[in-house]
Amino acid sequence: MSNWILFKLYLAWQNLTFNKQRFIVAVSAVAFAVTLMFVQVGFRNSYLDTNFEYINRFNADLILVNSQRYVSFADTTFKKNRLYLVEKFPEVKVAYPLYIHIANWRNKGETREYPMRLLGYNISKSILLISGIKKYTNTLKLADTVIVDRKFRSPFGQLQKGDVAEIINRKVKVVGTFELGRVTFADGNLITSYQNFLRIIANKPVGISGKIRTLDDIDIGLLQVNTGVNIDKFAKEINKNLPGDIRIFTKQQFINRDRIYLESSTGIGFIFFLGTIVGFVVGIIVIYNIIYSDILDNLPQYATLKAMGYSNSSLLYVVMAESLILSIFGFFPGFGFSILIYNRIENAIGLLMKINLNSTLLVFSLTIIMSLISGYIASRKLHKVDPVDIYE
Amino acid sequence: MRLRKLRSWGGPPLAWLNLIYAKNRLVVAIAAISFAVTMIFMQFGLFVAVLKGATLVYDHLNFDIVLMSSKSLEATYTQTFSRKQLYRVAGVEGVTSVMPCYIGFKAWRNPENKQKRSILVMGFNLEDRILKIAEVHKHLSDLQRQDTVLLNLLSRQEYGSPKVGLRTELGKRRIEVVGLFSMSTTFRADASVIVSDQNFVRLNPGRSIDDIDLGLITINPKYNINTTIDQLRQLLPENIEILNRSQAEARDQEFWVRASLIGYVFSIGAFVSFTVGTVIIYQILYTDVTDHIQEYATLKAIGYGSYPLAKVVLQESLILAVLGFTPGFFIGLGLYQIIYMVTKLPIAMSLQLGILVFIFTVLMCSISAILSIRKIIVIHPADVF
Repeated sequence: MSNWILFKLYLAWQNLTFNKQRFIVAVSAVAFAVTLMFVQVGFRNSYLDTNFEYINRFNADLILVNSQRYVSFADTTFKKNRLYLVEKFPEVKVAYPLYIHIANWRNKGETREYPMRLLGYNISKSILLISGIKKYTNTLKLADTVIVDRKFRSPFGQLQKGDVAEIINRKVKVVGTFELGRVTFADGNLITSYQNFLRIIANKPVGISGKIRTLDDIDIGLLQVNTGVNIDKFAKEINKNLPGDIRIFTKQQFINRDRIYLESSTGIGFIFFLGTIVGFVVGIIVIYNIIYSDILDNLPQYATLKAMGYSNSSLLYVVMAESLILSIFGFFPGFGFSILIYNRIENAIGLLMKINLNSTLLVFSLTIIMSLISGYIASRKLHKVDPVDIYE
Repeated sequence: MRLRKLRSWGGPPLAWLNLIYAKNRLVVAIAAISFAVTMIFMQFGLFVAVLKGATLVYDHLNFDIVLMSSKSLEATYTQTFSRKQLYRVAGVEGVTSVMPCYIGFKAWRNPENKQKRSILVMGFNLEDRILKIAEVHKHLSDLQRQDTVLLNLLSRQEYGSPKVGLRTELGKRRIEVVGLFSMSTTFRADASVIVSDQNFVRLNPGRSIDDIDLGLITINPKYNINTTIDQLRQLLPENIEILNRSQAEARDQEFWVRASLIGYVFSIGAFVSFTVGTVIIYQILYTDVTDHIQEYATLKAIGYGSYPLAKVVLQESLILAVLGFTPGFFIGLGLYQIIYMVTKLPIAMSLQLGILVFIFTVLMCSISAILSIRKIIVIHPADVF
């Protein structure tokens, strides 16, 4: 029995590789179809990943926000006393405020302004898990200093230590850099101490809603709970005991909310889903075309096999094996090529492009399904083959 | 000379006959190319849609020249400047009207689920005809009342279903919806309301009616707009930008293309689709060439040079381009419709888009033809055997 399968595999392999050059062309066609799907899936994921990467960096078990803050980057804040209120729960170890503001940035000597995301917090505490930030604890205490994301290339180029600029009409100095990653609603990431955050935003209407803010208005509260507390259970319970204007989420819930918002409100998810489908259809046609040409070329041989008594289904297996081999051989170069493209994109524009297990499995299964569909369609030709066709 | 050319037409060209000899294979080839074409259509179409979406606010405003603070990022994310500056230029020769426009965002409470979301608020002096939306002018007397708004019919469902008479909270005020209008949503604003300038100021305590976001100017068509802009430039301070319609549109388009990364994302998508298309066509032509290699060798043996044979392959590829483009165009049209229905992005087919993608298709086919021609050029007549 196993000989049987081996024979079919062997036959399929021989059929495919008999003409080496044609095999290479076929494999590269499949590889490009795979790359097409990877690029579409990759863009979809990165549009999401890159916008909530900062949530991943929160050193927190639970996240406290105004209950009207429907997405993590909306600009609804809550009052500081709410943070103290939550901190009083015996399960909560500590609660830190995080201030976020999309601030207008103007380079020295320019009139154009750019939106930048400014994050302010107590730098001496590990509130955001970004490597190398703690060394700026003292520098950022100096008035009007910020550090910039070097991963995120702004439209006006890379900012460097020593650069001077204006942020919401206040002169600031860049004193260092860190790495986080691009967001799609701002042209850069800045981090500063909460004291400097106050200096920058105080006493003027800021943001798209033109509110006047103080340090009393907190964007996100980051909570750490004591060891041994069941986070999910505690999150559920505490929400029942809180006033209605605030809500607590686990990190995962918080990320999921953003995911749902981004997917539904921007249409991004749908566009790349459609792109993936088209890539999939292209793949089916490519593989079908290869297998079909092969069947046509070897029609007398297939007819001979039929004349010898091979059934339709056993020939079907040979064809299916061929398309499977093709798709697997095409997948790996496509995968490698996609990693190259992902890296290039990430280096060029700072959009986080991660090859993750899920998207790899997704594209791999699509590739296999693609090959099975096209193999099956192509094999119908064999049903019609008459043993007499040998003499065609 | 002309006669010879005519006489050389001895029936359909070899390229065509080569292609249609294997009908099934031709159909597959066309299907493959048309999907590659569809993919390119999708990428370019989305890019154009973003460019179009970027200027939607301007599309609904009536102006020849717009004034805005140089600190404004785009039409819906502005810094204010003084209305006095706008009124100063009203006397400039050729200026027929100057109209202030107020733009901002406020939290809108969905009356159904009580959730707040931010909504675009556009305010204007009811005596100015700044909006190109006919519905607005029917409701001018209603808008004069305190705390009344017109709600955009095309607002996303998260804002509650739009109907006249709806009362809800906008900012810190209780407002009433006195009418509806339709205006496509933009990237920043997925819902919008229109109010009078007086109500706009009520919604924004601390803001004076003197702080305006856009200054719209119309020009008597007899006057040269560039001369007028030069005159305005001399009157107005540096921190106010003076833009004609196309400059204003370009400014916002640049902002959105950069902010949304779409230029980059869709050009990579188009590039990969182009490569896939090229490889597919190469694969088809290559198979065809290798299948007929004996015939090609025979032709060489009887005296044909490489050039006319190469021409056959090139012709084949061009025929494939045309045949593949046509279904690709129609599938693309269908996809645009689906994308529009689901995302409301202003995606639509245009002549330029069609021509552009057709050029790409021809390019794609020619590149793969050139790649597969090599095989014919190197073949030796003795290879017949």
